[in-house]
Amino acid sequence: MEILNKLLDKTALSTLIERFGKAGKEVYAPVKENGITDFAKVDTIDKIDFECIATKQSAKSLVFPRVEKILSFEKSYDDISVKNVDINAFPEVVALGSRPCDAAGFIPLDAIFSTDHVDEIFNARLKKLTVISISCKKADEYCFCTSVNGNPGNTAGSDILLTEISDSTYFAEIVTEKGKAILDANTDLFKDTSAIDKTPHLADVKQEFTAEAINEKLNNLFESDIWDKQALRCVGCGACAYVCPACGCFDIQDENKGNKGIRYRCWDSCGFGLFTLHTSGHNPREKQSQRWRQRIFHKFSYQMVQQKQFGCVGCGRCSRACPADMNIAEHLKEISIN
Amino acid sequence: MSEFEPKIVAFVCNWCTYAGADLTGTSRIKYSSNVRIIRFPCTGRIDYMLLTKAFASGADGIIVSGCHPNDCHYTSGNFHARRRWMVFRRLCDFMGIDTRRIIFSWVSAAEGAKWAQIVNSANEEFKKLGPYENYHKLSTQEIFE
Amino acid sequence: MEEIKKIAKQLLSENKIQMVIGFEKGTANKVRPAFFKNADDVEKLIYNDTCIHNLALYLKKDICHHIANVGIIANPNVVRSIIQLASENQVKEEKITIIGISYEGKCVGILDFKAAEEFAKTQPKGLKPEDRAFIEKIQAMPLEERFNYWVETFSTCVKCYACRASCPMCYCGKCNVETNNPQWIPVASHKYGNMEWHIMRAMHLAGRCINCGECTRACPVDIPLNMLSYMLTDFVMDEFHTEAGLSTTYAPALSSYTNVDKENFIK
Ligand code: SF4
Ligand code: SF4
Ligand code: SF4
Ligand code: SF4
Repeated sequence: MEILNKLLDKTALSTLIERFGKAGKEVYAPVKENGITDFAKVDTIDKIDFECIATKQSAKSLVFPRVEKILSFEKSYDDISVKNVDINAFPEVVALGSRPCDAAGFIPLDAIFSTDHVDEIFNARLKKLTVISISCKKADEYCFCTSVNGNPGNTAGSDILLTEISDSTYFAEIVTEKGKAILDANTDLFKDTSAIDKTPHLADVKQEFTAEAINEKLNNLFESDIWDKQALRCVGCGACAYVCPACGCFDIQDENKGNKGIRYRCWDSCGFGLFTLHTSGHNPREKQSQRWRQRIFHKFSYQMVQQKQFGCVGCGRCSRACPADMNIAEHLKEISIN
Repeated sequence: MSEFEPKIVAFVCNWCTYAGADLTGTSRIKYSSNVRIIRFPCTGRIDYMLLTKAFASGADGIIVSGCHPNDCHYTSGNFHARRRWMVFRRLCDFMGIDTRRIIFSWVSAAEGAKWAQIVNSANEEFKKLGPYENYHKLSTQEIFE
Repeated sequence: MEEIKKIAKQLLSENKIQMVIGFEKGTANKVRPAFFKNADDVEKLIYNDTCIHNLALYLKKDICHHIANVGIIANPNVVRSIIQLASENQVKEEKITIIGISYEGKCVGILDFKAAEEFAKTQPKGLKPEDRAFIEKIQAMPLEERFNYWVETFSTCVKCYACRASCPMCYCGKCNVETNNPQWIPVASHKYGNMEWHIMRAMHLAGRCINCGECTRACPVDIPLNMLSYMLTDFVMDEFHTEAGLSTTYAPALSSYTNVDKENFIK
């Protein structure tokens, strides 16, 4: 679909949120609570933290929750009944005020859950998700979207992208059919405009390397000692994967209470030693450096081969969350000039 | 409406309290039947996580009991347990877990009558406190629904 | 800082140690843990009052395994962690060279374990006023409110276990959360699983935590989980008159006992 250009006043955005609520859609937006900004359910605009550069955690839990029931089971005297989770019961969700990198993060995540095997649950959630992002006018020292094919005004992954062009007005780009459906249902709120140059309203994020260059380099780096050097201070906590919008690894577990139980999937991380531990006791990724190598290879090599998609959108969340200040952009830059 | 009957789990050691409870039975002393006794080799083996598991599985009250100090079959199991309980009680209290619902006691193999009295008074106390809904809810909410 | 560098350089060039664990410049104005293997590298070493990471953690990681003697830039928290680890037979004196730094940031030179014990005793200990206030605020809540407070606080925990990975005292090769037959702690980060995880973590650190705060610093969602440990440190102090991280012959509160431990709560 060709992008449609519109204008949206902030008061109109406020009305839009209320209308979403009336239509039974759940709106999630960055909300500051106890000093931390993360995605939370909102019903009015004034709860939203528009200033936050990047929420602590990504928006991925909207389609890939921390813990998600897959099925439930119940044992009776001579039988076991199994019930799949009802994928039609998922709510319509709007992610509002996500950043272009958050939106872009849904693309590699979708690739993980839809290549070879199409994951029904994930796709059902994704289908009911509408992403209304807001371009970044500020960036910090951790942001590097421009080095991984993104930019502070990137439309990829968003259904509508808003760019603040004045204190009261957003320039709205209607990117997808889902976005258009919102426009069509709320024509009174959007005004016509011709295309607007967003650049003056966007943060300046310097490009340090290219994802393609990393991909190229990795061909010869599997055995390199660069991984040992880079991973020295990594404590193997896995926090990086948990906050990453593009990390899709999960574990599957059963939990029961008496005769009833559920099977769920929950987040996991390749940073853990246990992640690859075999029953035999053998661990193919014994050292932290091998796990760090996996993280980079998965995002910049394997995912490109299998899914034609890089697994990093340059949001910098992993670096912000890392207790040991493992700055992924810095490490990638080092790889690119290795 | 029938009266609320608390679900009670008793974690007891093999050598003293379990034998004591046995004596209660053989002496034909009557006591509340809503207690489920779980036997352990020693109070030193009674992990505090078992207590939280009991609450999570629907217990409204817990009794933990073993040999009197200096009577431990393994010499010091109950001394270690005593410290652990002190710390655990403090942690529970800080986290808002109702410590009135966990009763600790020493019951020897000769104290059949004491065991009956401990269980009966615990039963009365737990009855007053009602079902431990807070913890039960915690363990069933969200994804089990 | 110059003095720290001088000592580190000398130790490295005399091959008394083969690596120094310290700090270097990190992202923007942050600092980060760094590992210096020769005297020239040491030029990059920095030390300032933002160097608060508990570096003792690294003594238990692979990177130190094959090194004969590791030097470590040790503020009071690091010193106390090393003493605690020594009391638990996790580090050996002949494999570590402690370069001590007082809480005011002054270099106190090389400390052997004996000197480290003396040094640790002279440094400020116990709860900071703001931590005590926090704990007292919670203690003042009615039972139910306290319960709900923690359930809510832990509800944002994603179970990444960064708190565990960054605590020097959490060194178990196989943590209880990884024991899956039976599954002690639910794998899921639902409210119940989170509560059980935090009860277990606090209990395992009772009387062993040295109040460094690294766990909370590492938490990606800023959960004040260190308050459970701090509260128990305080309790252990009051009740058993012992404190972790001050003596290499310390018997951890929960693996020792006396005949006169309080039992007024036992029927
Ligand atoms: S790897 Fe790091 S920078 Fe890249 S998308 Fe994930 S969290 Fe963001
Ligand atoms: S957050 Fe940092 S320390 Fe933790 S696993 Fe990731 S890179 Fe390693
Ligand atoms: S404060 Fe946290 S990281 Fe430090 S010793 Fe205690 S539990 Fe471990
Ligand atoms: S670091 Fe924080 S989020 Fe991770 S397991 Fe610990 S408390 Fe939970």
